[in-house]
Amino acid sequence: MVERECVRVVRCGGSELNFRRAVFSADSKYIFCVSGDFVKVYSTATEECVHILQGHRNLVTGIQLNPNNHLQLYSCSFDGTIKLWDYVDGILIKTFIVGHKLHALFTVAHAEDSVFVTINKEKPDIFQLVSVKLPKSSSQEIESKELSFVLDYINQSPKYIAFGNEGEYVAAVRDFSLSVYFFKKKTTSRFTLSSSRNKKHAKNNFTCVACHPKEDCIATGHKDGKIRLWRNFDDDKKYTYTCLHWHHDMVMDLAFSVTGTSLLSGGRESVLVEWRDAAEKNKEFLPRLGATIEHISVSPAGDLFCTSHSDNKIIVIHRNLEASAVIQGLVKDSNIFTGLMIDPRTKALVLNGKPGHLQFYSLQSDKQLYNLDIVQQEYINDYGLIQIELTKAAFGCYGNWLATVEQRQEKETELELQMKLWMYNKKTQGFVLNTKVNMPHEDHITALCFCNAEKSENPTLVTASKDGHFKVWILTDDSDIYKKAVGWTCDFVGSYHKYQATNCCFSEDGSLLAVSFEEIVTIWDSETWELKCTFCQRAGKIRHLCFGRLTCSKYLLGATENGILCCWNLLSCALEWSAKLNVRVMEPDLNSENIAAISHSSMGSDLFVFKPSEPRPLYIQKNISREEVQWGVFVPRDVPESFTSESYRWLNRSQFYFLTKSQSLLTLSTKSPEEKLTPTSKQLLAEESLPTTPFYFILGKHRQQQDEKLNAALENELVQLPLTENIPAINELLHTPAHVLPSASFLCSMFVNSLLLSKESKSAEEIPDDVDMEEEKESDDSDEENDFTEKVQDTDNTDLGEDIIHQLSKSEEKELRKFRKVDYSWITAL
Amino acid sequence: MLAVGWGWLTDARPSPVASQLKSFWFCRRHQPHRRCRSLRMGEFKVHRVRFFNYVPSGIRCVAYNNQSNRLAVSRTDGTVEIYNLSANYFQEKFFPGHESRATEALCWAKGQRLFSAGLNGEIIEYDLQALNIKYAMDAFGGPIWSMAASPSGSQLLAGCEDGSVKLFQITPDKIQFERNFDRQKSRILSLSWRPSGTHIAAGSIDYISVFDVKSGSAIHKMLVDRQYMGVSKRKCIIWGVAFLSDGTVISVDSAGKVQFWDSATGTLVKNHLVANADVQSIAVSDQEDSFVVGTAEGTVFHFQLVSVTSNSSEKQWVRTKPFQHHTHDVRAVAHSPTALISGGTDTHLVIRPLMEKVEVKNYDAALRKITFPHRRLISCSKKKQLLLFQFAHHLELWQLGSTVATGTVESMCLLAVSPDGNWLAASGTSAGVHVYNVKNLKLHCTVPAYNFPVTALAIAPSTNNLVIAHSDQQVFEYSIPDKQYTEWSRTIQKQGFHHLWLQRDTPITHISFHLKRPMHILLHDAYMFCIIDKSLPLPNDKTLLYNPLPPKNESDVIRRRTAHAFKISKIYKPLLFMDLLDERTLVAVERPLDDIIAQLPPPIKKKKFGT
Repeated sequence: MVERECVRVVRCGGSELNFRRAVFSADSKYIFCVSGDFVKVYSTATEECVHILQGHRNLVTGIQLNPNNHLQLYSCSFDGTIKLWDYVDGILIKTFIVGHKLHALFTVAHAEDSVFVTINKEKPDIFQLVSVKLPKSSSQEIESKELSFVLDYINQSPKYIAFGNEGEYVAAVRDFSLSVYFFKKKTTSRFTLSSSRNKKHAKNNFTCVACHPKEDCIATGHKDGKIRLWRNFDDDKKYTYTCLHWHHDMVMDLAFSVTGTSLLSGGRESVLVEWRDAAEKNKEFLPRLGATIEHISVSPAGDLFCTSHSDNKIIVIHRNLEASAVIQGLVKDSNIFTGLMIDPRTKALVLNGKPGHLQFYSLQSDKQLYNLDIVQQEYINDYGLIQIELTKAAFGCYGNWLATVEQRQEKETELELQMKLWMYNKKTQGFVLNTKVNMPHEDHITALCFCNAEKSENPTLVTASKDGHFKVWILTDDSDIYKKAVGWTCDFVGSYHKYQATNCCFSEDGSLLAVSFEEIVTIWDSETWELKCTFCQRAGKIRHLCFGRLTCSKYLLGATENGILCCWNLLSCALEWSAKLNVRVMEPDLNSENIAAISHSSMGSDLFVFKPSEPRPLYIQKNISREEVQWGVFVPRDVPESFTSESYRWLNRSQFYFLTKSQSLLTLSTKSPEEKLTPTSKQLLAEESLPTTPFYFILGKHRQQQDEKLNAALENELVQLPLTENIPAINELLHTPAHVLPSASFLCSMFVNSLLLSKESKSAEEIPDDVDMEEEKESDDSDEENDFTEKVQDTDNTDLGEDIIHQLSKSEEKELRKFRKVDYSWITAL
Repeated sequence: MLAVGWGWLTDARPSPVASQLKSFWFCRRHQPHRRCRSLRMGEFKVHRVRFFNYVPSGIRCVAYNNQSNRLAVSRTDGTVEIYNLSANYFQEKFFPGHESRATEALCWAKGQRLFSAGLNGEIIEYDLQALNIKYAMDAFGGPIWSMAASPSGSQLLAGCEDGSVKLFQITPDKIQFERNFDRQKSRILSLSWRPSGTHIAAGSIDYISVFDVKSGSAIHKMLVDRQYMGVSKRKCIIWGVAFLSDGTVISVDSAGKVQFWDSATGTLVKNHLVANADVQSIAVSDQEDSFVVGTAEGTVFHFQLVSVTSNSSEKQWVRTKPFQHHTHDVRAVAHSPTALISGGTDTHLVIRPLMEKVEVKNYDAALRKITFPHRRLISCSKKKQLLLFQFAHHLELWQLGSTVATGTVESMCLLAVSPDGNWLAASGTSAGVHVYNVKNLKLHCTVPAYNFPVTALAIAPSTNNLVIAHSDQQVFEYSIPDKQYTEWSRTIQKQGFHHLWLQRDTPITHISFHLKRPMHILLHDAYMFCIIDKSLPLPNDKTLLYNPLPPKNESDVIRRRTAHAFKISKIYKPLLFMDLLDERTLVAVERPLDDIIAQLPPPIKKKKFGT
């Protein structure tokens, strides 16, 4: 099915949405943003990604609507091309090859056949603004090397350049000066602010610029939080400016509303400020936006604003300053303490998100599912403030329990430590705080693990700490006369010669607990909490510890700081093999015996995949990343791949994701992960543009009825299915382009069929579809746990519509055929 | 090397002998006498006097006269000062005030005539030659709140407490009442003529009236919104109006608004909310392309008329720069062609040049802040060790040390008597110094006229040389017996003063001499004290003018090389007076600004971010 050979490291999603200003479509229905090598098209109403415009081979650095055709979009990239897209259908129309590395893109309405780009010539820090003539040609790829120079010595970021008065002048700021170039007069005016000479003006640096759409007025933002409005700047002497000052820190971006009556500004305060009539006393605020505002953009229709934030989020804001939609990508925090985890329930990647939060990120849709506030305290954004940090987290019991550890250490002796246990609530579909343990240990908690064995009737959690103890926590009944409740209590405290406990790990069946105390690994019986045996290799402190799985469950693996990887046989209590490998990441695959280890050297990071039973690795990929890999995780595949090649077979059931030091999330794949994104996007697009025809009304009514019935029928706790997918035949009919549709007579039968049969088929097909699953879960007494989860996944993610079409029973097919013979030509007359 | 500066006030015991009895007050500094190393200049004991309890009065009105480039300033105690902006902003004339004559309005009329009006209901004309009040005339309308001269300068309007606007004709030697305009309900706080002279705007409480000058009737009554940020204040006082030639009326009011009205239709055109407190004053430039308003928060806002886009003729008023040079209410503003002038309760007169109007960027284009009068308020009796302080309405005689107090009062004008009593030098308001022989009471000679006014005069004891300081910081030495400039004076004029010396912005107010060292001239302004040693070489532009106090380990060679005639000390600030008591003792009178501010009413409290 795929070419067998090439497994390569690919970047998978999670790229910055806030790299450049987002752009609205002319009708404000869509919002475009750059995202790594792609341009993403989101719906402003539903927050869904409707298209991904792929084609650039490097980072996309600028997007602009085509001023002459608002259904087209220009994009430029580091790969030296400008591409023109039809964003409604997601089609690449043209590629203009410029040749230079393009840093920013600007379009001007009156300059019909040229756009402006920022390029870098000679010196690394000197950028030029040039205009590129886009030749008219019918071919797909056009060379456009005709560059004409506009401005020199400008800043790389497009925030520092703005075009004003319908392209009559361009304003560029850098450091302490503002230059305005007039295209008609071909002159440049330059205004310089007093710089660092005295302390008062030390932070006068320009940080952004915006031009008034109607008047000759330039707004500039400054590092000290001031906004200056410049006027009369066509005269070097008579120029004047006025100051607006509310921000206490750097102004990150500025934007004028479409009519120019108000100015929007934002900065680190995470407050969007609207200055009405450019008056200091007349301002409105939208506070508590969560993170630093990096960019502000305004829709051409004037009804929406949007702000891009440093936590990789885009907020769509209504004209009356009400946030209407949030598009959240993977939050990239510089400190990932928790590592990468997989939520067993949603299969989402879980890691540190916003400060004090745990984020659930869907790898499939490249979208943040939700944020779980762990610390539950107001985050105060200030330098030098020591914050509470979320340091450890672990899932247990198939995602029913979540344990988190947070700490704050102001001084050496003052450690604040808190462990929280969260229970999954099926009703609210979220985690609810169950138990809070203050100071579970005297010192830093180094490891946290749940006993995930199937047979264990009582959830068990083990924490290891630098204070030399490991503690076993169990769930006990905490009911009183008022309510039934459960809570966690400490069951056992273990220690070994006052060494610091550094790691802990349960065996697959939960019978054994391995706890490493610096250089020594201790094995404990989880029934009686007796020390069974110890291993010591005298090869440095144990950094990673894990049990083998499935057929290799008799092995215990440990990686030490001195670069030794050891494998002990638990039956013989002896060292099976050891290898010299400086292991940074060691992750077992939950679906197989395989274990992935990433070593780091000055050359880069190398990946080794091996089975504990044999010392020879199954697969080696050298230099997966230049920088150090911090965390890695195996993610079970929804649909198993079928690699036949020996060396790639380990990728069949799971996929390996890893996170480097610079927060790029990478994976190993034969195809780009974006190909696998669910094809629901196109349907959504069609859904929205559904016209209000008589059909619509019929269907709308029909759906409402269905809804009611469904609601009545679904008294259980299951998640409701999206309604749009309830009538697959109609969707099929509406979403297929007209020229590829089969003949109307064929369609008609299907269409009517779907309408007529809906009552029976819904109750017979769809609802039981889920109920069945539930039954399966209960009946299938869980020896094949993995299969089960896969099945759940199937129903969740594959298109239900197709399922139903495929699953038409023979009787139904007969019926269909019968219908085909009936004359439905009256439909066409409608 | 200068040896002054490390002494402290020794023992100053006040003994009030002036008309007003002061409470007995000791001012004693217990810091030890620090003596500097014996230098060539010698060592002084310094009486550092800080008990001169002088508080300048707040500025009430300013009026700028374009023709003569002079600025009239009136203070709350009725004092009127005339500043010559061409002569280095020197305060050249001065009319002492009186408690009963609180001025509320000040204006210039045709032919350099200055009028003021006040709450006593009188219109006063000042005689700028004789420096006295020409006449005072009651307007019979109760206290006068506002006054405006017509654009032609031949008519005068006065707005009174009873709501009447009275028109006066200015005759060559007096003013004559012509008629009343329609009487309004409440007091007229502000008045402005339309530049064509056909209409006037009068600001009252809660409304602005527009009058037709010919008929004298009100043609529009424009009500001003009392609302202030959604909160209804009791009354909205129109503190100032300005009538532009295109018919626009600009008003400033107590709700912090600057509003633009169309006088033809009587409608509000635009509204700028600039302050949380009152906007108290407005002044428009002659070109009508910019104006300035002053607020009770101490901020001055500049508004400019700028074109909306470069290729359209449409223009709009835009608030541009705010200036915060005041701590208290800005009661009065003026707009000269090149500068914004503001003054208020904090007693400073601030002249802020407009950079875009300034042709060359020199020291004239710098911001100036004038706090102290440009004359000497203190005199000192060397023999008796007495200090005489001049206040607005009284004098105080203080004694240094413990001798019994008696004293003399020195005249206020610029006079200098030679110590032997033979010569008298006098400078009038016009340039030129006359030297009289006291014995035969005849004019001995006249020092050649110089275009800048004289700020200080003194005659040296032994040589009878007359030393003259001018407002442009030039210093001349004129030998009275020889009737010509001395050789030293010629040398320094030939070589020119140091550029930093010429850039000082306060005039020299006092000159004195050392009894034992005839080559020394002692002079000072508000920020420095200088001893000129005529025997030393003159500094050129390359040398360091403000030589720091001698570092301890500096070799004599370098010291000698860097030594020049000007020994400047800047430790005493602001210095109102400094003189030698005897050859070893100096007396310095300082008036720290903080002490003045502490005696002013508290300013409007503003929340400062981060406090």
